[in-house]
Amino acid sequence: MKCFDTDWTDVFRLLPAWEQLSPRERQVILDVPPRAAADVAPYCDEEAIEAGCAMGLLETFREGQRVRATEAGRGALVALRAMGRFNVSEAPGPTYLREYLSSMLTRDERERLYTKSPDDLWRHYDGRVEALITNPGYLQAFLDSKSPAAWLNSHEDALPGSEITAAAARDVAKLLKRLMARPDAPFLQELAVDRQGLSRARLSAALRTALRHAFVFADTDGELRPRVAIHPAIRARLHRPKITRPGPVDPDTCTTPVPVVDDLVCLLVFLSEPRRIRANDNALFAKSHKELIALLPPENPDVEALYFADHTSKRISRARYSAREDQLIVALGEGTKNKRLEVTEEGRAWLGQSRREQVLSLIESHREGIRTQDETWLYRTFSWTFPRLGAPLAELIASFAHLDQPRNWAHFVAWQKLTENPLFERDDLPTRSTPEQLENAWGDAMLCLLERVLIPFGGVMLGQAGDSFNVGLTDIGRYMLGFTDELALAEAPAESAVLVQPDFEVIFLAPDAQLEAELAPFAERLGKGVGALFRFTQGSVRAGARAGLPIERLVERLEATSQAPLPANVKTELLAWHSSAVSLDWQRPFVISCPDEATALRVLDAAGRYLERAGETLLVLRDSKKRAQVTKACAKLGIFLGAPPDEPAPKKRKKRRSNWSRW
Amino acid sequence: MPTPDGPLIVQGDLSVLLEVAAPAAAEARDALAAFAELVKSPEFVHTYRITPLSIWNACSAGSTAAAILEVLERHARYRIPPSVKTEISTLAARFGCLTLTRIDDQLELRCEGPELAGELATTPALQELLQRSGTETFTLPLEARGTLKLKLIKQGLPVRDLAGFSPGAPLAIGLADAMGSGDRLVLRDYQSAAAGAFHGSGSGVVVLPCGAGKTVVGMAAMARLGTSTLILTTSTTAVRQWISELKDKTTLADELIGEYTGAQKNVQPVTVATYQVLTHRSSTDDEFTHMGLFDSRDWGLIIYDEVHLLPAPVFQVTASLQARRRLGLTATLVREDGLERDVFALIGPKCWDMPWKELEAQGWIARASCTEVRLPLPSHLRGIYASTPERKKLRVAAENPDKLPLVRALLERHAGEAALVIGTFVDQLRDLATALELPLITGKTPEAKREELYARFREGELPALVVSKVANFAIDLPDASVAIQVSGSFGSRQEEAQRLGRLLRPKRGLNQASFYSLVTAETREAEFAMKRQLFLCEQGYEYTILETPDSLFE
Repeated sequence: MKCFDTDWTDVFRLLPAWEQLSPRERQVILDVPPRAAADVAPYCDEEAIEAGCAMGLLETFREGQRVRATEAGRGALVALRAMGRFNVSEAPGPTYLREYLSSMLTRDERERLYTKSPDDLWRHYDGRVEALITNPGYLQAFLDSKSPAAWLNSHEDALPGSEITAAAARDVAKLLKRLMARPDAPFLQELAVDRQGLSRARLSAALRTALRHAFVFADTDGELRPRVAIHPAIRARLHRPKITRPGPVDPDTCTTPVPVVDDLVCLLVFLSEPRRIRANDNALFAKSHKELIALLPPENPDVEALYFADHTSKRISRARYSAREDQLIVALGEGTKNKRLEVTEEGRAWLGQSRREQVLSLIESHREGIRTQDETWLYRTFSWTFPRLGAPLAELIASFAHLDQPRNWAHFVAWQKLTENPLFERDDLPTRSTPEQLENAWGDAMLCLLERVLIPFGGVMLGQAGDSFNVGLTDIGRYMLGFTDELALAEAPAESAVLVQPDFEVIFLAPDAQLEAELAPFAERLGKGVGALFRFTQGSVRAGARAGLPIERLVERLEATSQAPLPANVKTELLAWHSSAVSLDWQRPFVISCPDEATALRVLDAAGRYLERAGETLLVLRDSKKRAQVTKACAKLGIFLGAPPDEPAPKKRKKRRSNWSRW
Repeated sequence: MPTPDGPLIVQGDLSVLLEVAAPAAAEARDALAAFAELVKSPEFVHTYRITPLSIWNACSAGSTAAAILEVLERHARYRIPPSVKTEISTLAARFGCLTLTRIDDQLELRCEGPELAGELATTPALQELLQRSGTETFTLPLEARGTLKLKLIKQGLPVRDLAGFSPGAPLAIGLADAMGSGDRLVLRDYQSAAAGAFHGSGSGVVVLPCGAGKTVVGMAAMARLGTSTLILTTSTTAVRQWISELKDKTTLADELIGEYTGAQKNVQPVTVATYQVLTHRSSTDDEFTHMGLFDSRDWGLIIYDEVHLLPAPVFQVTASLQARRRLGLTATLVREDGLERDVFALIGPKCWDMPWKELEAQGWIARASCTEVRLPLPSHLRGIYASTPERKKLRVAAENPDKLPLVRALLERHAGEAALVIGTFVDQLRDLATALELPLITGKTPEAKREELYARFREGELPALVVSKVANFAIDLPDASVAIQVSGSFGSRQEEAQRLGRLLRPKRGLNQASFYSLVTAETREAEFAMKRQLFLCEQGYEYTILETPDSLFE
């Protein structure tokens, strides 16, 4: 040990006089170098120097013009100076702590703190030391050891003549317990006065040992009064109020969102017309992104309230991610200038399912990931910290069992991570983490499970509660987490408060999120929530057809559930528009092959001035630059031309070398 | 406070849905009509829209933002969007900031505050009209009244017009006790209410379905005001119908009613003229020859029949007639050029309207079934259609020769009923008339001939007529109960509604009318047909689409 390797009885002896000094005087005394002489004049405070001399710390010579530390007082002065340099009790940040330890302990001493660590190979100073000594378990390990003396001595192997006796170890334990009982950092004077049966020498020895093992930390307050305490992080943890499990809240204050299914339907319908994406990051171009945002269904207000900022882009990312993982979309044209996102056959099949089937197919993959603890699923779902910490998924899932009734989330997480955190019990963690890091890791894992697995799939009900929110598991959530093996998803209600007008508007007299989602692929959105929300148009119905969605089911649903009969003209037109949508493919060299002559004539009708007839069902485009115009003109008639076969990416021009580099 | 069975749903775009079947729907509708315009009225849910103009009109009738919001709160089913409340309050607050009064032979515009006056003084569109007379006042000539109001509306500034109306030359006119047929003349409730609403508002537009008796409303308004009246309408035939009605249903002596048309120029205390004669000029550089009619007498009332057809030059003159009461009559205030706002600003706000279906339910107009018959384009025409230039495709599709047998089949199906075959393309109509051996009326048909044919049709002598768009409006053929539309003017919603309107006069017996529209499938005609039907769909009429026209031959 460095500065604190001193006889603390010397310090105890001068503490009463030290207490009488002013902070200025204390500062002057501490400014005197302990191992050299200095002129008195620059200190400008002869009284302070005199006081220091009176205490036996300093002596003056050369007729009072020079001052130096006394032999007897040098050790105390060094210790006091060291204590005055740091403020560990109030600034326990890792960098500060590191500086403290490197100033107070030798390298061997710091490394020896790790003798009993699982990472014996990692014998260099880093955050692992900080993690060790700020963990209450470190102190508790010493206090709970069968032989505290042996525990201490195992850390003292390399130090000659320093074996600690059992009695000395008991003194250390006594000091430690005394300080652990204090929520504050007591002044050294207090310990020196009330030694609780210990002599000054024994207290000094105990203090030295405790400092050496980083059980306690010595510093000064703002007025340079010495104090000793355990690490503030340990203190806070030992003395924080007990947190109990939060009580249940009224479920009627919560609603159940199922956003990702709705967003996914919207995304797949949007991608029924392949969209170009950026080659470098696969992102949609700004225009497409904006169009997609306008199509997204309204966010559940309770989910919306969870986020401080608009998280529309996050919704899109999540939907894309989910679609990609379940192979509902694919990126084609890699390496070409026509890189694009398209819906796969699986995606079209998924779109054609009922909403119930769509929800079930999405949650199965997560349920399976939870059941098998699939590594890919773990890394995909949780932050990297959780898998690194051994991914105690079973305990995490078990913690959510307490959400069988809705509870306040903030309170629930605090209770879990501070008092029920299984990471604290584990001694096989691959990396050393501070208690705060373990708490945060557990809280983050809970939030990941909630945000990435449960909320998107309707696994929880949510309700706003001041700055926090209430959360409770739904049947879907229980099913996904494996608490039950049976799930009965309710079918759509038999009757809804919706009306279809003869002018093709659809009016919602009451909210019906499910019907909104079913309508969205086929209709233009006019509003959100209640009121005139949609209008069927030729274009919108054909867009749904292009996505491969059958309209018959929607028509049946509207006929069955609408408050008034579906107008005859609406039904006729919906079916007619839907059936008139045709998807065609390009063939090089830009020949359009139609299934029949009638379709060929329709294409000719749309874009005849660019095309020539090459047969009853074949049309040829001579000018390839007009491809976009032809595509656009045909789309207006409900004839959708797919993307042409991939073109090779343009060759990059070689950068010219500047002339000067040749010289 | 929202209630679960409240009849109103207020949307963030200031539109309000009224569920007709809700318990307090009638009360809500009456309250809503004071500050919102009825946009559409299909069977179950009516749509109203709160506009700046509707708010200002409500304020001019004494309403306030608080009162308007109270009505909405009382009847709303869900929470009213905060943006709606803010918008209503902001708009209402603007009313009263500008007041127009008459001082001697000019007008004074008073602003609420010098800041507003300063803003107006620096607005380029107003600088040529306004003369600053004080820190908060401006003066302007009398004839600039309408123009000023129009420009201020466009700036979002309503004017409280206290300049009053000129009473006009007095005229003793009342409604007759008995009509020429001997029947008593009794105003229907809605006709009386419409006339009263107009009288209370000073100037305005009455919107009633075709066949609901707008002419009677006009006459009732004349009787209330007792002043010289100029009536403008769309054609000589319509002029003569007005004159006939005036003679039949009012106490006016025949010599007090004048016709001002291409055929006659007779100005009397009640004069009926056509828009065409007013906008006639020898060349585009010349003045309008007959526009002086507006100044030829001290008119106390000007009635604009079919006001949706108001031509632009008449608009301009109307701007200078703001001191005279103005009554607009129409069934379809829909203009494809979007100038409805100018109609409201220059003629006056909509002071009365009534859903078509409501009148139908009360039996005041005939029940009408609308059917779109779709037929395919013949194969020999498909290639021609496909290669025809865009702007001519409609005609090729509309003149589908396969329409003839369908027209014949429909006429046979409705044998014994008075039928009209209506179209746009004269060549097609001529072919149809020849094939069906029916008389044809087009724009080129002399007036006298038209009158004769209409008269024979009314008397039942002619079972059917083939007519062009001259018969779209203002032609009274009370017993026509079948209309077969073979072609139309692109996507004109107004034309579709007016053509249906030819059938809506109440009928004896079943009081039922049938409207057929023959459309060639998968062509531009089908696209336009959908647009044309929009207005009627919004009034609650449902079109049945017959995709297998062969059933007509069974």
